[in-house]
Amino acid sequence: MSARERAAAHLSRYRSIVPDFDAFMEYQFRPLRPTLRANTLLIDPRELAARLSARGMRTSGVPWHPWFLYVDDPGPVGNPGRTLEHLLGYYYVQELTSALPPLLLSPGPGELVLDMAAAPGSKTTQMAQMMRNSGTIIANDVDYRRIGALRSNVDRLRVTNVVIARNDARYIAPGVTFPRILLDAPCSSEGVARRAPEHLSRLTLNQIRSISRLQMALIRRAHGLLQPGGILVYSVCTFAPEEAELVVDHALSLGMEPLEIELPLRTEPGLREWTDERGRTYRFSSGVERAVRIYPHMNDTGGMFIALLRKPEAR
Amino acid sequence: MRCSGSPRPAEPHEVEALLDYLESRFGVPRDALGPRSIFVSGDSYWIFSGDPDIPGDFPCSESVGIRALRPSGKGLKPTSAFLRIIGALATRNVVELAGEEDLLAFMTGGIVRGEFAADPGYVVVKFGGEVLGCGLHSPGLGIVSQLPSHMRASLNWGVFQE
Repeated sequence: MSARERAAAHLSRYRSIVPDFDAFMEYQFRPLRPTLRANTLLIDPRELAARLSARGMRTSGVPWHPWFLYVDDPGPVGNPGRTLEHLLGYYYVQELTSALPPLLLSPGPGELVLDMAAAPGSKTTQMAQMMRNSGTIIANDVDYRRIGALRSNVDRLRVTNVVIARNDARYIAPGVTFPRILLDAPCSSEGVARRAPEHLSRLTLNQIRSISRLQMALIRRAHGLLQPGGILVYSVCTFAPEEAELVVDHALSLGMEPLEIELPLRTEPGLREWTDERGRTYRFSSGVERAVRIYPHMNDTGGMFIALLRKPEAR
Repeated sequence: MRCSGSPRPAEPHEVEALLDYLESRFGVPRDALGPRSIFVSGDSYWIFSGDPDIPGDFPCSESVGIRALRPSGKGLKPTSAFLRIIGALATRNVVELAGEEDLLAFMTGGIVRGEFAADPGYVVVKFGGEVLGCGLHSPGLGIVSQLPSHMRASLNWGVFQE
């Protein structure tokens, strides 16, 4: 079986839950048009577009957010990361769905944010822009090498409001609590198949279940680290309900409240029920429907699942 | 998990030493860091624009802001990331590259050959008025790029020809 056939076989587990499944499958194997986020700490997006145009890279604005540009044609550089402007930190090559969790968390200047699984830093640096390099982002990751990549991006984008910490986020000792937490959790990454098509062919159900247990431990810790009234955004770039609704359902069982999500993209609500390929059926509470699923064929993007949760005020 | 670093706010005498260095070597005004605070972690100075009270309370904080200066055999060495932030204010030991060939040599981590009107040691390297990073001026040789590998271009990119 080819890698593509194995990937298609894996994705067939979602036939019963994805609307217009044939289009979904077709988009999995279509290349994704790259997108850039202008680093507004350093440059106006229009000026960036003009500078890239002078190098032969043709871009157009993403209609729903002024910081983002589609790369319509990279021109002679071939790869949109290979420019002087990229090396100087004027932009970050970031997939559009990856930009959504920070937009929902919406940290402003002067605020305190915990980014629990931050590397390589696309969302950390996006939030630093939203906060205009003020306030504080604690950018945590467990992996030494991935922290190297995070540090490189923080340096390159001239982000100076980030504290980098290395902890297994499941075991971060209570101390500081946070009004806003981003948990963009490690996941099976089914939603990035358009950028890394070989990835899906190696994924197994056991891996998904194992990652799901890790995610539940992470969301429990996130709940403990949130201030009463604090906001948590949970996101995974994958479609597996074991990593999505099941984890959010667990957070709701801890007392978290689901909030309504409004996005400028077409989304599907979180599932109420899922039966896996071994016949195991999961039923989720109604609050899970407030989470959103983003499918590649609906907006010509990658895939993503996002939940917006609030910890109730202390009584 | 064992923590590898514990940043602390710089002592007043350490802040003075840093500002003295920036002023004497590069002519950077003493107020150039603005409201940013200075931390010490390991052997390096770091600059940070966030809330200086938070970092010490969170476990296993390894770094605060970006690394600004570290000791080297030739005295304090500014990082390229730091010079990109304050280098535009430098009035001494600033080298402006002459053309695309020099730009490519610097951005690929090589040596920009030639004679330069700067003291031996670390210099701010610019191109077209933009700060690129830190170079080491070695008279008789030229400017040796100090860009770390993650800030470098590869020779086969061919990206700087417009």
